[in-house]
Amino acid sequence: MHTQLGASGSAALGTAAGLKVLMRKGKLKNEKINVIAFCGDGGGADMGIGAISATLTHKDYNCLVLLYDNESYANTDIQLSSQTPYGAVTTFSPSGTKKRLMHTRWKKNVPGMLAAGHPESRYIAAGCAAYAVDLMNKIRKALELGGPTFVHTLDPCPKGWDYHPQYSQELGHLAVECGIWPLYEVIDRVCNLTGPTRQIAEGRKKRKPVYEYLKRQGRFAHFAEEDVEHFQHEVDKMWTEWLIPGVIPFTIAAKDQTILKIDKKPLHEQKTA
Amino acid sequence: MNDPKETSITVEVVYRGIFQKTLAQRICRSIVLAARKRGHTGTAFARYGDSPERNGVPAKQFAVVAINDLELEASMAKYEPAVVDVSIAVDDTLVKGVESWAWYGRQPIWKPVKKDGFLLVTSDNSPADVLAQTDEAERPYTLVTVPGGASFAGLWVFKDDHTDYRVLGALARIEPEWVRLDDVKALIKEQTKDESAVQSAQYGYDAAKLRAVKAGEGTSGHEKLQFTKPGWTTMRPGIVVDARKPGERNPQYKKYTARTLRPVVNFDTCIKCTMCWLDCPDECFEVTPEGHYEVVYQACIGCGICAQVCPVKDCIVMVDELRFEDNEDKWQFWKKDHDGYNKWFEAKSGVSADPKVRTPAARQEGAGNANPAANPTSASGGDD
Amino acid sequence: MAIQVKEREHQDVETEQLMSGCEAIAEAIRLADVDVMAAYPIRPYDGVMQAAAKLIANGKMDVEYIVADGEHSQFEIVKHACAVGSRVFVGSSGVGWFYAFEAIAVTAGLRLPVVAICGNRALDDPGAFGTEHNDSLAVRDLGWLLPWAETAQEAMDLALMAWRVGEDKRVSLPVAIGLDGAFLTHSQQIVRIPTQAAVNTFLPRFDLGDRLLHPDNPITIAPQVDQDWLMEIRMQNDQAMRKAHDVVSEAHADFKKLFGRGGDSPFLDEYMTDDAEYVVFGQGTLALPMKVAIRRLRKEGHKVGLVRLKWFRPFPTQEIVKSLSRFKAVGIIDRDYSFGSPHYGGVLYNEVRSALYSQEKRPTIVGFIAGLGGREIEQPMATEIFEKTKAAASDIKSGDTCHWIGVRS
Repeated sequence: MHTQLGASGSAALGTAAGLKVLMRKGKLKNEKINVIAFCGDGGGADMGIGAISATLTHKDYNCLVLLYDNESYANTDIQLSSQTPYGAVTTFSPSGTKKRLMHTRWKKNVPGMLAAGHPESRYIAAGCAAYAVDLMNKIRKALELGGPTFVHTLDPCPKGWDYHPQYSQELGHLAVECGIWPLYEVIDRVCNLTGPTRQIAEGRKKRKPVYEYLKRQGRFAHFAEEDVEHFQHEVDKMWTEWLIPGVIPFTIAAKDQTILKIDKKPLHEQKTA
Repeated sequence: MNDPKETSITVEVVYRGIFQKTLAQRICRSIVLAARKRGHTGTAFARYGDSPERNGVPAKQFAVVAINDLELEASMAKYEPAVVDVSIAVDDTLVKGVESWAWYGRQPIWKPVKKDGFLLVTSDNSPADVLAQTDEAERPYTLVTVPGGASFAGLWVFKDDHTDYRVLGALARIEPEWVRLDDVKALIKEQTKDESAVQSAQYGYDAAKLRAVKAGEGTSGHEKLQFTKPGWTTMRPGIVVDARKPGERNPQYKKYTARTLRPVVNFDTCIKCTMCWLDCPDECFEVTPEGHYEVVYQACIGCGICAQVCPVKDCIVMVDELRFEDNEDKWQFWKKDHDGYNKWFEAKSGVSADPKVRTPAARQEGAGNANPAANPTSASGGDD
Repeated sequence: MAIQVKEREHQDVETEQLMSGCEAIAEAIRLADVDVMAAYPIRPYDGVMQAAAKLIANGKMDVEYIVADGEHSQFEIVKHACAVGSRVFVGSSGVGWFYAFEAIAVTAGLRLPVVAICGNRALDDPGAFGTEHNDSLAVRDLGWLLPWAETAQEAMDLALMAWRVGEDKRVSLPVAIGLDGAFLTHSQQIVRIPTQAAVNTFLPRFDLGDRLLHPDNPITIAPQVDQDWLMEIRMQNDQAMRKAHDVVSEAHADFKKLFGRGGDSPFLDEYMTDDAEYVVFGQGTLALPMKVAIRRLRKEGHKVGLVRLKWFRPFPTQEIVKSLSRFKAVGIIDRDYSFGSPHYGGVLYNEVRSALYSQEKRPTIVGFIAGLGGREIEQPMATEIFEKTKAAASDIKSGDTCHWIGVRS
């Protein structure tokens, strides 16, 4: 069933609630039915983020929201969204003679934000269609664990990114290998890095320069050297300064390092200071 | 100056959605601007129903030129022209028939071309080869070929190989009353200040090959897809359409007219690794009883991801779509006639079916720029 | 379908309660065994959700009750719950109704029988809570059925009718019941509550049939279409709306038979019109002050009356023509506005005039804009409305005017 832009969270919730109550009242055969709502980066990260957020707090409903992120509103003629990478050309951000870059916002960190803000969601993950098995496993885990879950996939888009479709898998790989799009999952509040992201984090694999990724796409063809440098710098920051690369964009102040040694005993076991 | 006998002319450009959008736009605009140079007026527009364009899915843009504003209005009373004087196909595989994403059934490429009109195709193949893949004509027309492959010139970065200039030159040859070569050249000179671009127009003019096509010429081999649109009394209420159960294929899902290249599989070298099956964005692979993967050509759009992800060299080869007559799955062929299939594979792909025999790179010259390796916006062609 | 019961079979066991319009609707939700409802706060409609939440908390009904993150979500949630076969309820008011507008539009397009309350409220800006009908009326062209209630009893009755008519396969359209803010939503009246058994007889189980979204019934709902398809889809909805007229009549007849309420006509409520020469026409709670005025004016010898419209969509054109052509002049009271419309009149005014255009015998129809933003229609205003209506009777062209009543200059 097709739903409205920005309504995927509500679509998942309404469908799951309807099935649940009808089964409870005996109006529908009691069986497991997976409810999956798809949205794009426009409908999910921009317009529908509120509805998805609300859905992830309704822990009694089994539904998965899958955000299919091709980094633009590609169905309406390729306009920029909050998921369009820094500097990329879209029909709303053309490169001109006066302004080389019309889009200078950094990509919004959707899965990290949702994982941080919805502690009762049992599964939130970032995947990429180019790592098909990893993604299939993530979808399967989300549906198996139940409750409201969320998977954000980066999906290379020949149309808006301007490359031959044949290179879709390769571009997905590059996004991950350059460290631009880290793969991870948060299961019951435990974060696992997956795929090459894990290898990079463990030092078993070196990040590739972002230029390897940028140069393959027409949407970055107008980049000057300084733009590539800025892009690389931001990605570097993600890996050097973030608490968890790609997941949590802040770190702990030097004076508050004790946070890491916090007494994690439940209240009744804690000794009074 | 020869004045046109008619009061207006309508030209359509049929192209591969997105990949050739900018190219089609440039051709249509240039037709109007060139005609303007001799005092005619005109309009250029894209078929609204094609938007949003899908990769490779046939789309159309139009140029209408008239002797004055009133005649232009008269020729635009029907927004989407039902009849055109010239149809330009900027990828020769489009002659196998086109289906936009929003209408139903494969249409012959010449469908809107008027009697004794022109079908202009950019192709490195001979007119005879192109005609052999064009649907049987219902009325006479002239097939015109202009040298050049399918230029996938890119969307943001236009890096065409002068296809637009060659097409304009060829158009000046067949419709001189409307588009004069001198006007075309002057326009290109103004726009580009590039003498080689002007020369490309002249080359298109000179190298265009004309082949008169009589009614009945062409192929009757393409699938006929008839579709009757239901009325409100027979449509299901609530905007509901039949769907398929999981695992079932939708027989209505025919995407082959989006293809410029098609994957051909060497089952002998397949290691059954599942990569093509996993990564195909349109779920076009079926698992055979022996664990091979065969392409469902009805559904394949020819994106080439399978060939790219296949770890075995030349196991999946992308081949010019114009070399194929049917959309049958090929695993049965291989199963029944192993040697026959391998000969067929070699003939089509130009690659030896025997991996021990070293062969040159896959023969793809027929597809010109549609060969991704030649795409200027890709790594190999590139802006490295 | 006609109902096989003895007349008023269950009446003797009906109970009686003092309740507001909102509470009456909540009671209807319980009686209808609604499956999913979605709430979001905006007054005055949200009194329904507060009352319903209490019923749930007290175990009086089993409803999947979702507090949404905004009206767009609220209406989308019930739309999707409805698609899998749930009986649903939702509602909003004023600008909240407009925040949901996209979902409201598609719900009608999808032919999903969502039942909603629009607690009629002025549109911002300026922020105001009082009643005005422009929120409900904004959806008049979209394919929603739009009944309007006058009393808490009628609110409950119309809600039960709403599921019955909306879910009928011949109709399958959403229904939005108009409830005047404050006067109806928040005023408590004596309401007779039908028995569950009687409601079960009146209201069959919701069945979407082969349109049910379920893995056993593989369908696609609402694929993208182009110009080749849309007119046929619109035509289907037009036909459904046309059929709704007879389905409302049928349901009204059954309701009357079963519960003994609902008046003579499903569409019009006429008050002292038998010998009337001048009547006023309007919808919702403004009927009350006008009835009081009619009784007063009749004592003074004026042959005046009231025609109250109960269903704005489907618009009961034939019934209105038949009724209004009997009078010398009709004053249409709009608790709404339509800036820049013909004769700068209200929505009702222009619709009624349009309905009577081709009639040989037609009264002078003069327009009044009154009671906006919840302003009361006081007795001097009612008198003024009748006087101006009477004065207009002599010349049909004097109806080409719309008077604002009780506005300071």
